Amino acid sequence: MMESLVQAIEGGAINTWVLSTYWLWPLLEIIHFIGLSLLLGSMLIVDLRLAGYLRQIDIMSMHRLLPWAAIGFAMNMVSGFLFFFGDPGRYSINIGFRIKMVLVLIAGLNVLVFALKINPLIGNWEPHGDTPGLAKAIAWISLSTWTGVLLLGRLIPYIGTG
Amino acid sequence: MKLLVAFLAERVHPDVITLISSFGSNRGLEPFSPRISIIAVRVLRNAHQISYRHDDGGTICRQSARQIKSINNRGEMPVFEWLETTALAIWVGESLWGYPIVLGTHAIGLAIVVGIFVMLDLCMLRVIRGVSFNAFLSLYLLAWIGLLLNVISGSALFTSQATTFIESAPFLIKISAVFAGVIVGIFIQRRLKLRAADWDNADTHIESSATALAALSLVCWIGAIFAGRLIAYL
Repeated sequence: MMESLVQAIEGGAINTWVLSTYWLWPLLEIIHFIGLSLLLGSMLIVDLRLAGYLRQIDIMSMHRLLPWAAIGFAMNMVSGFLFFFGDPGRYSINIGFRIKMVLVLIAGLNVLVFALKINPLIGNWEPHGDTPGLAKAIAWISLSTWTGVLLLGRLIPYIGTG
Repeated sequence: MKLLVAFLAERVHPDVITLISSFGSNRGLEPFSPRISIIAVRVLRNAHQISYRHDDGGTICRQSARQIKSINNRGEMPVFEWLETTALAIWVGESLWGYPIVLGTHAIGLAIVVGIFVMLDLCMLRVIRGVSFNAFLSLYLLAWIGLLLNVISGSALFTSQATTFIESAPFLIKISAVFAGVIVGIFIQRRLKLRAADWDNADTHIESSATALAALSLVCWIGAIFAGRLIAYL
């Protein structure tokens, strides 16, 4: 499946554009790094509050930070897609990249659990109080998966390049 | 002669100047006497070649030229060359896990430092509203821990390619931006200690000197990322 995907991409319009635009790759890296700072910075604060720390923060005000996580994620998804389209052969066989994508998926499912199980109840919580066990679990899963995504992403060029 | 010494001091390895001065005394001349004139000093940075001529016979002193060349081959920046030979540099540059461990640490530190500062800046600029400024006073501890991680990991990365980095414009810009960002961060922290409680009251005006600091901080950190990413390309 992966091979046919690579074949479909290589030589295509996006692949050619990414490879032939010489300033694009560094620009994408800059966008990817700014995006990761927005995503991890906002998630760090949200997750620490969700884990029961930083109780000065009104738990409802986390909703002001979440759009910035979404903006960071969107920046990284777009730039990440273009990385993949630029060099599909190397990314698809890279073990670091594969584990990273699995971790992104886990982080995404974690957000889904948060949205369905936790978010509807937050309004009833003590604004500056402790958080329930499920919220803490979600927070720590989020922190560890995003840290893993960051580490594996950074190390893609150096590990498991086949 | 003083001008000549100044000229040399700017361009030539200090050992070369010592050698040239001792060169005169070997022949019963005063070191740096006007009688020893250096006819031509060509410092070819990459070839490390210097040729010069002794006034007295007009002969090119080949042996001394070789001596100078061997000294100059040690490089014009012995500190940075030495750094690249340290055990740390070799661990980072050549061991299997050294580089990934240090680079991974640097990425985590970056996310913590830039992540927290950018969020704080956006709050101070009132782009994000309603998040407690008091909480950022606690987050500052984490930001400084992240910075410490990156000073340590960054220094380790630097040693592995010290001579390359020290001549890289993007690297020097990045370091300046980080340094400026840290200074601005310290100023913001001091301001936050005084004003966080006030700013947490809804719609309290944040003075323009504080928002200017926040904007400057944002520029520094985004600039550091910009320049940092370009190190590998320029």
